Amino acid sequence: MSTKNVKLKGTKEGYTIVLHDVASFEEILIDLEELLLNISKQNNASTEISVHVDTENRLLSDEQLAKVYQLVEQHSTMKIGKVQTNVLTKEAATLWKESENVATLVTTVRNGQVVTMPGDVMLLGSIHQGGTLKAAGNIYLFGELKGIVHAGYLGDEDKVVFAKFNHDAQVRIGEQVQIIEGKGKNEPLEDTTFAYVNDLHILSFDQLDQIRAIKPKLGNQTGGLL
Amino acid sequence: MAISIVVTSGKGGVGKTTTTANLGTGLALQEKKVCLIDMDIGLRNLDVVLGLENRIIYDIIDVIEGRAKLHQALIKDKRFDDKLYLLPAAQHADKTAINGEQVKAIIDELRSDFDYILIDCPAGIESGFQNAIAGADEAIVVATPEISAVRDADRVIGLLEKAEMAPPKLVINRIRSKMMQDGEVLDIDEITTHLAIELLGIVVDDDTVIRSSNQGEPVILDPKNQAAQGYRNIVRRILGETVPLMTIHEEKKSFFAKLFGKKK
Repeated sequence: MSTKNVKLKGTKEGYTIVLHDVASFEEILIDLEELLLNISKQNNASTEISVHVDTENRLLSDEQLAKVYQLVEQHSTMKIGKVQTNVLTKEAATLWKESENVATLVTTVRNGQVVTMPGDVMLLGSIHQGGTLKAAGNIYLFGELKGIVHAGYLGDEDKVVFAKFNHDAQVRIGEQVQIIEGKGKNEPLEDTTFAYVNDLHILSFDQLDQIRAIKPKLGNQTGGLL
Repeated sequence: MAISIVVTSGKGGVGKTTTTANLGTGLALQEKKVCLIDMDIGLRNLDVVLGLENRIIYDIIDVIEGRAKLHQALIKDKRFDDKLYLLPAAQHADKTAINGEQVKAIIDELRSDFDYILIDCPAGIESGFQNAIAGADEAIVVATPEISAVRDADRVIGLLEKAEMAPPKLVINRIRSKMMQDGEVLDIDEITTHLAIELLGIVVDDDTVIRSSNQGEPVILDPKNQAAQGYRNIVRRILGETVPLMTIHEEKKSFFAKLFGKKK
């Protein structure tokens, strides 16, 4: 069922109202109203049907979206589930890329500095006493850790920290904190280990060879965002 | 055109003012025209270390507030014919009486007349520090072999790196050779690798440094003193020479040498 600019499609996942992107938004509203009236004439069912909205290559502002919601609510028993579109704002795209990207930092995080990153971060440098590295994602540290690392600082406890935990330091993942203490100068260097939050919500450490068993999903990002 | 270098440390009492005075004097002895600026407003003492406190007529605040011309406020050190000048800090004002733009303007005005401008930075990392680094091209960070001084130096290096100037260089001051040899304090390698900046030089702890500061004569004027040698090496490195790091090991006297008082 369709009008010139608005189409109701049935798919495997249910019904989708497609708003063609070639028409102006005013035309869309007129056609959408017509379509909804047609549907309600034919269908007297009082049960609520969930419907998706596809705006194709068009981004609707919040006000425009509100008008679409209002029309659908007014003229039918349908309820809008998901609104999908083929396009993204640059802002949203940047955020998305940043949150998926492994940022590479070449610096020393010194006393008093707080470095905050939106996604995963690889630090080629040390974190000194009093310095803090926070990342929303995982942290891969190649230098010495003497300060504070905080992976998943927005509350994500799935994240991990890779580092050589050879010095007194503090490791945080999500809301869990572990203090490393009593590492003397003369203790042998440990192998690269990683820190993670286990099923009991306790921050624990393990050897690198255990990573596949503990975090099997970590390595399957083969590039590509979707 | 002058190069402006700020001498800073974060922690107080590690020897910023002494280092500024000695490096300034050393550069002047090498026939360079040097201007020292005391940025420790309210707690000036660079003038005292140089023995110039009685000659202050105008200070940096007088220049900024227009009561004096810049050249009127500069004090010439008569010992180094026309090579060493000091722009003293004000004693009555505080650090808020001045801002970074004004400091920058003063330094830019001085640039054409001098080879080196050394800025003595106040302790701390507040506005006084920000003002002092505002007009600087390069920075020298002074630290002593104590954990607290090294920590503060680390903080200051971070701030300097953020200010986008040339990478700062390190001077390790007040080295007690015996304690360092015995491993009771951080050694030079540890400090340098930890701070991850270039080492400009080391200066041993010596009573003469305090004595000469009290007399208003920088220790670098003493040809035989070990601390003075350290400062002289730093001066030569600033001038671009390659000078090997001096050894700080005290020669152990043999039993017979002790017994007969022979020199090594």
